[in-house]
Amino acid sequence: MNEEAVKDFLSHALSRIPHGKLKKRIVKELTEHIEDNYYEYIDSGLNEDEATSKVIKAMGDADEIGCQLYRAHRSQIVFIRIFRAVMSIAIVFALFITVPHVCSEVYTYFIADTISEAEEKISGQYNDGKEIVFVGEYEYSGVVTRLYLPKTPSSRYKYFYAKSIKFFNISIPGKITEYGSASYNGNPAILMLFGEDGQFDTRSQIDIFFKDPGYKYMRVWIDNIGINSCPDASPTGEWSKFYEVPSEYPGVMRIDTPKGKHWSCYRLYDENKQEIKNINSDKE
Amino acid sequence: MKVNKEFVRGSTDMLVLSLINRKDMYGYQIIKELKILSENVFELKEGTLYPILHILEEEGLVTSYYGETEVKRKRRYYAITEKGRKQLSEKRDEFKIFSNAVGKVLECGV
Repeated sequence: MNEEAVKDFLSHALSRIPHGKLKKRIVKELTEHIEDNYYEYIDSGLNEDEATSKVIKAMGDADEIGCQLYRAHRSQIVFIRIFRAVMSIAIVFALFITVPHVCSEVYTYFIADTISEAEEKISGQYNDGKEIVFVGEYEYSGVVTRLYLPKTPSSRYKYFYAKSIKFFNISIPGKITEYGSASYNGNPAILMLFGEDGQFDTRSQIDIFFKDPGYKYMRVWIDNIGINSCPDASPTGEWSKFYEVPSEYPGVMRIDTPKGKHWSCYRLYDENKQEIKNINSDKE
Repeated sequence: MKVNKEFVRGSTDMLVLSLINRKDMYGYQIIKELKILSENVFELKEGTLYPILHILEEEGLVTSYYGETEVKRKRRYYAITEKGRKQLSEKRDEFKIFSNAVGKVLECGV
C-alpha cells in the first residue's frame, strides 16, 4: 500500500481533531477501513498503487470528512481545547510557584538597604514564629536580591530573607522560610515587617547567657537598626531600663525589645548600677 | 440507476441504524451491506460513514466495541441501543407516511 498517500489523506481528514485519544481512535478506524477495502481491491487483481488510489477515492473528499468529523465531535473537541488551555495555564502557574525552589535564578529577592526603603516596601506578619508570610505588595525598584535582619549573632537572632514570585503583574505572597547568616554585600540591612495593623512588627528577643557572676544589672541599647553601632553611631536609640541579672549560675535572661525595636549592645553594672567597663560588650 | 443524493442524505442515519439493527457491524461491513441491499443505489462516500456513526454514538443511539471479524481482524463494531431502536421505529413510521403520501401524489399525476 502507498502509505504516504494514506497518511496524507488521514492528516487532511483529521486536521481539525486535536491530538489525543479521540484522534487515535478515528485514525485507527479509518485505517482499518482503508485496509479492508485495499485488500479487497488487491484480491480482485489490482496492483498496489491502483488499489491505494481507488481506496482513497472511495473514501471521499478529505476536507469534507474532516468538517463532518469536527461537527460530530465538536462538543468533545471544545471541551478538550478548554481543558488543555486551563491545564497549560495551571502548569505555567505551578511552575512559577515551584521552580524557584529548585532553580535559584528564578528567585526574586527584595533587598532593603535602608530602613526607610524597607518600611515603605515590605509588609508581613508572623505566622508560626519561624516563618513569616508576606501579605503585602513587594514592589522594589532597586536591585532585587536579599533582605536580611541585622548582622547579629545567630544565637540571638534568626536571619531571614524574603522571597516572592511575580507572575505577570501579580505578586504571589512570598515566604520567609530559610535562615542565613550573611549580610547583603557585606552591608548589614534590616528587615522591617509590618503587621496587619500597619505597625512595625519585628522585635529582637534577647537571650543572654551569663557565664560569670560579678555583675548585678544590665541594660541594652535599643534602636530600630539592631546593628553593632551603639550608642554613638546609633543616636536615635536609647538605653533600656536596668534589668536584674539572674542570681543563678549560669543564668539565662530574656529581654523582648519593644515592638519594632532591636537591641544593639549591652552594658553590665554592679549592685550600685555602676558600669563594669572591662566586660562591657558590643554585639559580635 | 443512480438516485439523487438529496434523497439519500436525509435518510442515511435511518439506513445505517436499520442495518445495525439487524446485527452488530463495523464500518466497512456497513458500507458493503448498504451497497448490496440497495443494489448499488446507496453508495456513500465511505469516509462520510464515520461521522454519521460517531454522531449516532454521541446521541446514544448506538454503542461501539472492539470485536473480531470472521477473518480474525479486530474491528470496531457498532451495536444499536434501546434508544436507537425506538428512534428507528419512529423514523420508519415517519418514512412510511411520507412514502405513501409521495406515492399517492405521484400516481395521481400519471
